[in-house]
Amino acid sequence: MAPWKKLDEMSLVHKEVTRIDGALKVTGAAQYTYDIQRPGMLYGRILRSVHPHARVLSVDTSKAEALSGVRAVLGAIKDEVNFVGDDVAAVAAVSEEIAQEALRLIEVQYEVLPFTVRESEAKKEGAPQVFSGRPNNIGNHDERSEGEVEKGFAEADVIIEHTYHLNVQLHTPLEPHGCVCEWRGEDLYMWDSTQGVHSTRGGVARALEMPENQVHVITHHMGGGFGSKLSPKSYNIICARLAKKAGAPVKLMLDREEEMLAVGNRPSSWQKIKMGAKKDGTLTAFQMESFGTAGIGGGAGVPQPYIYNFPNWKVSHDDVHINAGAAAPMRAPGHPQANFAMESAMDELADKLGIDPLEFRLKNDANSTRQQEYKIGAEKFGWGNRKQSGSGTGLKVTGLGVGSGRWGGGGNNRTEAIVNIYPDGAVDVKIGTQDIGVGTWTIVAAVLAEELELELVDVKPMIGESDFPWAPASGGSTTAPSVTPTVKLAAEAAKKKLLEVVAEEYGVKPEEIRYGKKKFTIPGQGEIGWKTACAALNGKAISEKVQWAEGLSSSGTAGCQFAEVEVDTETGRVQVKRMVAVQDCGLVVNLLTARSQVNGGMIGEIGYSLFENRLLDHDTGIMPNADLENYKIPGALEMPDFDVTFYDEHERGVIGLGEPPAIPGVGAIANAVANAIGARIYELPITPDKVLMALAGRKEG
Amino acid sequence: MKPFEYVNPKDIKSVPKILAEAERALLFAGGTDALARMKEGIDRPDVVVNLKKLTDLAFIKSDRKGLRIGAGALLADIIASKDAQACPGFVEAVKSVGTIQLRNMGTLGGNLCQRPRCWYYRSARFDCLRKGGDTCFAIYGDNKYHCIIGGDPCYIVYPSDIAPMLIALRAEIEVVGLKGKRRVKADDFWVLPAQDPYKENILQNDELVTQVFIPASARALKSHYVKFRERDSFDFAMVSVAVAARLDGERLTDVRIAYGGVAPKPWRAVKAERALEGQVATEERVLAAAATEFANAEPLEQNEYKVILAKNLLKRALRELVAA
Repeated sequence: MAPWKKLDEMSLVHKEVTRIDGALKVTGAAQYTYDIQRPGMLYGRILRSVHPHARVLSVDTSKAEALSGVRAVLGAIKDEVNFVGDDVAAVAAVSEEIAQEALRLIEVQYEVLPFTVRESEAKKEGAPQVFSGRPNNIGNHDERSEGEVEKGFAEADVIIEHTYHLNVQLHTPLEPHGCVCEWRGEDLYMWDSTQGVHSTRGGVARALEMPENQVHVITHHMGGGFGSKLSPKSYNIICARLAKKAGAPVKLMLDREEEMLAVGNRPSSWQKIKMGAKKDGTLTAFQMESFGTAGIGGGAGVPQPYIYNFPNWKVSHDDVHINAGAAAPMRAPGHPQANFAMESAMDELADKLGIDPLEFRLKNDANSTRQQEYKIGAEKFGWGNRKQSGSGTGLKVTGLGVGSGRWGGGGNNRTEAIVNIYPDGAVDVKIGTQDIGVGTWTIVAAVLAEELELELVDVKPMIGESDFPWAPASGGSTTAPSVTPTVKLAAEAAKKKLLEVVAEEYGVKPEEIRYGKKKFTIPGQGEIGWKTACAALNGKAISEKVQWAEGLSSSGTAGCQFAEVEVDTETGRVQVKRMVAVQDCGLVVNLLTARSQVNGGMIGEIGYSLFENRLLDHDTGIMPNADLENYKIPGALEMPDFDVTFYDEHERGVIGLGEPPAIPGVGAIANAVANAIGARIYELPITPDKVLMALAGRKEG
Repeated sequence: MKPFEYVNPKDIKSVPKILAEAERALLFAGGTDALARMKEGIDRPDVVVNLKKLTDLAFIKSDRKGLRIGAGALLADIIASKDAQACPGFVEAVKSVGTIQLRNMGTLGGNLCQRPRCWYYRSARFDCLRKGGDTCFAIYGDNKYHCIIGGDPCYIVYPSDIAPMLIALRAEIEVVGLKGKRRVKADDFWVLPAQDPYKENILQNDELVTQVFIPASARALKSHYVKFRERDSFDFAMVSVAVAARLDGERLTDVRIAYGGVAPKPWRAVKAERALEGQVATEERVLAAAATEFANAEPLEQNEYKVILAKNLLKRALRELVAA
C-alpha cells in the first residue's frame, strides 16, 4: 500500500475542487427524492396523532376509502400513540390534496391517557408515565467518576455552581424525510432521502420480512440530514406497504410539521455544575448532576467533564422520557451541550480568579494540537482586544468569547469499493456511500483521478445505491476517512493490474514501465497513451474490489473557535460579527468543501445558541412553533464573517470533519454575549427577551 | 385542501355581492397569507375571489389632496413609486414587510387585512377562541410573542407593519360593500378582541378594502418607522413603532405614535402623544411618556420584555426622527 502522495505532488487532493455535481444542483437537474417521478405514481400521507398519549381504540377508514382518487389506506398502524404526530393511519391517492383530504375522513377513537411534556415535571414523583414500568420516567441512568471529588473541592480556592440549560434543537434539513417506493415483481426500489443506503436497505428488509437482496435503496442527491436520517423510519415502511397495496409507485414526503414532530431532534440538557480551581488557575474538581429528554427515545447524556483536565470529578445523568418524538443523533451528539455548559463555567471561574479566559484554558487543556490552535486563533482573532466583561457603554456593546471541541472521526474498516478500468479507457468506481450534501461525489472522483493520474472528467464516481459495495452510513464524521482510503486502495489495485496487462502485451516487466499523467513509458518502445494502454485489456475490464485498510486515515480531532458579538442594548438583539475557527482534520481532502463544512458548523452553532427552540405546549403537548416562521433558523442577514484555518496534520491521513466544527462556537458565542453585557444567560437560545431582562436586572443590580 | 370555486369578478362593484352570497368566501390578492391559511386548513373557503385581475385596484396616485393607493398595489411597486417618497416613514414601513419575495407578491390591501400570526391561531391543532373555540391558549401557554395590552379575551398582536404608520399619518381607508363606499379613519379601522374576538377590523362580510388615502398634511410631517425583529432575514415585528410629527425647532408638535406588536390592533399611543406634544424629545421625557402609555400594560408570563422594548423603541424612533 502506497501512502498519500506528498502535498506538493498532488493535483486534486488537498486542493480547492469545486463540486462535480454543482452545475446539476444549480440548474435543477440533480434529482432529489422530492424530484423523483414514476409512471402512475401516487402520493402518500400519514394521519398523525392529535394526542400526546392515547390508546387507539378504533380506526374507521371506510369514508376515506370511498373518496374518489384514493388508492390505498392503512388503518391502525399502532395500538398506542406516544406523542402528538405519532403514526395512526396512512393513505395513498392520485394527488397530495386528495390524500390530505382523505386523512380528514378517517375516524379515530382514542382513549386519552395522561401525558407529560416537561422533563422537569416528568421526573417528579407521581408524574404521568410515558411508558408503564418506568417510574419518574427515568430511562438511562449513568454515573461516572475519577479521583475524589470532595478532596478536589477542599483544595479549591474558588468554586462556582450553576445550572446550564439547553432546549431541544431540531435538525431542520432543507429536504424533509421522504421516499418513493416502487415494486418491480418481488423487488422493492426505494428512492430515499437517507444518510445510509445500506442501513436503510437492511432496516427495510427486516421490517418487511423480505430478503435484503430484494431491496434497492437509491440516494443520488439529498438535502441534508445532520444525523436524523441514519436509518429507516416508519415512513419508509408505510410507503412501501402503501405501494404494495395500491399496486403503484408511491411518493411519501413529510411536510415541515411532520419533520419537526416525528423524525428526530437534539435532546435538551440541564446540567447542574459545581467546579473548583486553585488561585493559580489549576482546576481541582468537577461535579455535575444532569438530566435531559430525548422524548420517547434515549441519548440525552453529555460527555462531561468536557475538554479540560480535572483530577477529581463525578457526574450523574438521567434520561427523562416525555411525550415527544424520539431524539436522533444530531451533529456531534452531546458535545455542543457539554461545550456550552463547560465553556460558560470556565469563563465564570476565570472571571472569579481574575485570569484571562484563554490563559485559563491553555493552563488546563492537555491537548497539544489545541494548544497550538488557541495561539493561532487568538492571533488571527485579536484576542488581545478583549475587554473586561460588562465594561462596554453605549447603545451597542461588543464581546469576545472562545470555546473548544473534540471528536473521533475515524474510518470504518469494513468499507469496500470496486474500481473498474474498461478496454476503451473508461474508469469508474462503485461504492455504496452517499453524498448528504457535503461533497462526497467530488472527493470520491478526486481521489480516484489523483491515484490514476487522470483528470476529474476522466473518471465516473458511482455512489448512492445499496447495490454498490458496502460503506457506512454518513454519520459520526466517518465518511471521508472510510471512503477515501478505500477508493485510493481500489484504484491502486486496478492500476497495478493495468500495468501487468500492459507489460504482458508489450513484453516487458510491470516494474519497468513508467506511468505518469496518462502516459506509459515502455523501455525501448517509447510512450503510449492511456487509451492505447487500456486497449491491451482485449475486451475484458479490470474490476478490483478492495477493502479499507489502516494507514491512510486516523481518528481524533481538536478544534477551537472564537466569536465576536455585538449586542444592541435597546433591543437585546445579539449579532455575531466574526467567527474564527481553527480546526484539524488530518489530510484535508478538498480544501473548498472542507471550509464549507466548517462554515456550516458555525451556522448551526449560531442557530443553536441564538435562535432555535422546540416548544411544546404544556397543556396540550402540541408543538406550537412547528414551522420555519416560528422555529427560527438563522438566515443570510444573521451571518458573520467566517475565518477558517486548518491546522496542518496531513501526515495523520484523512479524518472526518462532519461534527468537529459544530461544537466549539456554541460556548464561544455564549461567552462573547456574557463578555459584552456583563451578565450571563444560563439558557440557550440567547434571545432578545432574555438579554433585555438580563440587562434590566443588571441595571437594578 | 377542500375543493373550492375560483371566481374572477368582472369589476370591483361585483365583489360585495359574491362575498355576501357565498357561505365562506376568501379574498385572494397576493395570496401570501391566504394560501398559507388554506393549506393549514384554518380557512376552508367555498369560494375564492381572485382580485389580481382587477387592475383598477392597483394604482398609486398623488395630487394636492394627498396620496391615494389602491388596495391591489404591490408592496414592491409602492416602494419604487416616486409619489410615495413624500412620506418617508410610510415607505420605510412598507420596506420592512416580510422579504423581497413577499413584497413582490403582497398587496397593500392584503397587508392591512392579514390575519394574526399567533401560533395557536395558525395551527389547525388548536381550537382557539379566534377560530370559534372557547380558550385563548396564549394566556397560560407560550406567550413570548403575544400582546401586553388590550388583550382580553384573545391575546394576539396585529402583525401589519403598514397599519401603525397609516395611523401615525392620519390615513383613511376606503371600503366598498353592498351599500356602497365608506371611508374609515385608519385609527378606527382595527378593533380589539373585546369588541370582536373573531375579526381584526370593522369590515363586514360583504366588504373589501379598495384604497388607502394619506392626506397631503402628512407631507409636512417627519415620519419614521422602527421595526424590531428577532431575526433580520425574515420575521414579523416583536415590537415596532411608527412616529410622525412636525419639528418646530427642537420641539415636537402634531405628534402621532402607533405601535405594532404590543396589542391585538395597531396601538395608538395617545397618552405618550399627549406627554410629548410641544416638548423637546429628551431621552428621559420619551421614556417617561412611554412609561405612561404602558403603565396599564399587563404582560403575560413570557413577554414582560416587550414593555422595555416598547419604551426603548420609542426612544430610538424619536432620536432618529429628530436627527434625520
